[in-house]
Amino acid sequence: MKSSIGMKSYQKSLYYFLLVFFAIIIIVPFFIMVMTSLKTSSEIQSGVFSLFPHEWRFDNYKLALESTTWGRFFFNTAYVTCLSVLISLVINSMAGYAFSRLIFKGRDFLFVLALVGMMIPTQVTMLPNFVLMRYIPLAGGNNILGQGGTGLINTYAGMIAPYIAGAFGVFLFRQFFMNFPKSLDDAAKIDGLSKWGTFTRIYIPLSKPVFATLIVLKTTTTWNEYTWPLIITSSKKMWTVQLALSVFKDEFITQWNLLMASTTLIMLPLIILYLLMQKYFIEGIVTTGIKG
Amino acid sequence: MKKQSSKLISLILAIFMLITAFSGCGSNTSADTGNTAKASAAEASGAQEEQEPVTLQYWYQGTDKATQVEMEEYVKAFEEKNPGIKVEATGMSPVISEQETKLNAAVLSGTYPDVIHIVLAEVGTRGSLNDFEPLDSYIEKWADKDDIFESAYEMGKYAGKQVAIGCAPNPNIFVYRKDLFREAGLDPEKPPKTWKELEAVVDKLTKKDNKGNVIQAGFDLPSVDSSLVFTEPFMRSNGSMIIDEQNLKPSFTDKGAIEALQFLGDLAAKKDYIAHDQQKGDEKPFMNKKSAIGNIGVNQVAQFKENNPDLADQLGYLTMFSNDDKPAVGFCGYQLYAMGETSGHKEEAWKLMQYMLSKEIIQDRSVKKLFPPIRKSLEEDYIQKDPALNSVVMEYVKNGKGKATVPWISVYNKYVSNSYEVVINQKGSAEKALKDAEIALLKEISK
Amino acid sequence: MSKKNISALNYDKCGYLFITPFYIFFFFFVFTPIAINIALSFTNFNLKSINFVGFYNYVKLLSDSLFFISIKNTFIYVLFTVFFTMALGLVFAIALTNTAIKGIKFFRSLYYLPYVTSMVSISMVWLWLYEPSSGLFNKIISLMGQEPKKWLYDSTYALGAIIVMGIWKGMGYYMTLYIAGLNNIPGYLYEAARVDGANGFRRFLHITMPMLKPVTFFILITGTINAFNVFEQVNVMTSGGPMNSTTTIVHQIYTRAFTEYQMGYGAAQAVVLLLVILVFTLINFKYGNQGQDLDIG
Repeated sequence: MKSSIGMKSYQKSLYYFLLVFFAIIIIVPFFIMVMTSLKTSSEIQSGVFSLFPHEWRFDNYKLALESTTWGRFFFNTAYVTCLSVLISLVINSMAGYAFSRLIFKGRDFLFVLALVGMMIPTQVTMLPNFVLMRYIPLAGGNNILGQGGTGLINTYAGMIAPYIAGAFGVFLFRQFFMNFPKSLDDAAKIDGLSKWGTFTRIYIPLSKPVFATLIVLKTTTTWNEYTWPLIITSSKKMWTVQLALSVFKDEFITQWNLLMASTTLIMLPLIILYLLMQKYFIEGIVTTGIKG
Repeated sequence: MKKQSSKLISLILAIFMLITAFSGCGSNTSADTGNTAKASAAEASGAQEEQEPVTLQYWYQGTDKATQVEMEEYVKAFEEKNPGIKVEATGMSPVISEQETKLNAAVLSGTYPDVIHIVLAEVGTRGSLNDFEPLDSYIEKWADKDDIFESAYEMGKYAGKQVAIGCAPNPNIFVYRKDLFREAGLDPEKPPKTWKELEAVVDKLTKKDNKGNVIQAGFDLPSVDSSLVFTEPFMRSNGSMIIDEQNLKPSFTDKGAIEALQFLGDLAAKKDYIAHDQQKGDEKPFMNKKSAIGNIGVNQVAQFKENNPDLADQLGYLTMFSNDDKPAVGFCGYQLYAMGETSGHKEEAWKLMQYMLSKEIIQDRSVKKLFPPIRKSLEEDYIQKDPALNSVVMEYVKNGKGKATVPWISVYNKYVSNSYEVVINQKGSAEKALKDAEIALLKEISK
Repeated sequence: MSKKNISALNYDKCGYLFITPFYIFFFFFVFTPIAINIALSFTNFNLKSINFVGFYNYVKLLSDSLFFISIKNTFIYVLFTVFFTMALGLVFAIALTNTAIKGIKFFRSLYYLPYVTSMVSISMVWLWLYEPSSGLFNKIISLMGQEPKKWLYDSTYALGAIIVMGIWKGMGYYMTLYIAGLNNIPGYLYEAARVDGANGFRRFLHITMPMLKPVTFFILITGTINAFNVFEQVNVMTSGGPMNSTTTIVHQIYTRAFTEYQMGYGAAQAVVLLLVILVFTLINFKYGNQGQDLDIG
């Protein structure tokens, strides 16, 4: 839906005003986060709350970056996230198409079963998954019975596996494909396309908003994962950026300014990604002008 | 149909080949952990390969940069003195539940570390799971064994076995602001020493604004004390055992504990305090210059001085408040070293532990982290460094008590900290709250 | 699509191949752990030893007052969070697909920002906001003449405080999905309606809302599942307190299984959670319109 009706100028101003008003409310915590990243330690501890720093410390960012090997952690996080998202896009779109457009025995049961998988929180599945990773045959020094080595613990594959097993993307694709007009399928059949051909040549090109949405949402959740990387990694080399934040925390004392600076930096890729993906939200079936 | 099926199948195969290829990228690090497995396999088969380096997994407390740098220095020095032993040191998150998660995962997957640096509560909880190798026979043959404080051994005992050795006492001490005392017309050299004296000064040290909100608290009474490090000293100082460690039974519904909790409840009723969580170190009002008497960790003292250099000489230190003539017992947590029961290199692990407990390392940690030393030979030196503070700290070390080492310490924490909150919020009497907690606790542990 | 007329001709056997890649991962890394969990719930596994105990854990649940408190808290959390985040998400999505407004992309990113922050770090900021003595919220309400509240230290307000934070953080997720859903509605439907003389509100009611049903269904299900699984902010901000006013089902599971080593019991709680969510989802499947009947082609 795009409404491009001409708005009267006072309506426009009101609109802008409300948008800005809500934006400010929503941004407050984030704003505090950034301001904290620019304060000195003693000011944060002083107990007096002031929005803006008394002494601006832009080199907190430099200090935060120097605190640990961020390059390695960013690489780990980016690698794991990219692979997870790419693999998810492929296998989820395929499954979503099948669940929405193909008829086969047990289809709805299998779909609900996959949904059930989404209902379990990671706290419940993570220990069994961890043990599974340890005993996977022929990985990380394991023999065929899965004994002897450490399996996929502390590896990229071990970290990625649970991320691509979730049904979120499948569900998303299914709902979107369900909204596509049946005339598409009919036209494809007439053109002699197989199901696979219909999928790849018609459905996927029209799915840009879904792809963009899934990319944005899945990247965000994977990038921000904490508990699973905590368990699956056993050496610092494999840490993700979220785990690296613990470098600033002590039993009693936390270096808030550096922690907040790092958090801000960690968030940047996600925001940039969102900005880049925005234009794809708009394209799709709307622009194809398919009429009944 | 056949053509598209084969296309699909080849796509699926391609995906799996890709994934296998990518998973190979992570294996450079799994090779490290693979060594431990290979080495222990070699040992198990009886082959005495002296050229094969032994790799120890050493997990320590803390992920902050300072600790990491420190530990890595020690480890490097150890490796130099012991060619043939390599040590992989990994920090554990200071959040206890995260430590438990990782340790549980390690138990289930057989990847438990060889040497582990734990906190006192874990002696009871993980000790009851048989995570640790008893050290009695190793200590027997240790030359330095008599230089270690008795309490360091006491703290590491579970069910009569020596499962860990204390390496760093970690007391929570009471501190006060001499300047604020002067402002309130009190003598800064005569701070309160007993419960009655404390009660008397709290009102005088409290400042409120014209709407009645507290802007300066007289005393840091926490609203939430989930590990009970604030509450237990009061109970113990009033004669309660809190937990009967010999018989593994709760004992906090005696007169001593009830009176103590009621005392705290009455203090809370004055509403002279600023709400905060005892576990959140830098939110304590004292650290934010919002109270006159606080309860903080030893290294927070240094932090406070660093953040407020002008107030550095206004800090006074207090031992635990006593009730009449009963002996006061402060809170003294502990860090300890233990050996993994499933370790494949117990001799080498003991070597590492000996090294970490050696005089030079303990001295070094004492200087860097301001921990009191656990070695008798280093005590004098420590007190000399800052007599006012460190003599008080040593009091806590000698006469303080940490968390009890029973397997159900977390369940106890859960129920009794709830009782604390009930009493502090004036929602019930201390007697009923503690009795309810005991009933709930007994129900759970008697299975 | 009625199932009565499926004949061999309509059968798409290739459907199985389409779902296989996903299903293999699902089977190993989701289904198997769940199965293990269900099996564990019939044992008294505590990391040391394991014994079959039948329904003992489930019976124990019936007398666990903490568990019931956590169920109550979780339901309250789900109700308020899902309702408000969905409503706000929809409102903002509609507001931000209006191309007459410049800078739409910029605003969208702003509104999406909370979702992008990592829970661990942003919980700390919210702790400061709620801090009784120096936090921003108390400062604001004192300016409005109200008494400062103890927020996270007060059992009457703590859950509400967590809910507000949950709404703030989750709204961007819903908004993004609604935007995609709104953009998927063919423009010509609105044109046709306008030609027929329908005003903005009627267009919303008769075109937008129905066409959004598949997305709404998706958002409702996934959002509710996420809300039922609330854990991280509780763990960081309140540890379930004060006086158990913010403990949630997953928090109970975590506490029991991880810090008290009662893994069998924790597993039973997880099964109960699963059943609750399952019932809710199935109800929605039956009565919620999934968009299958809409034939706009």
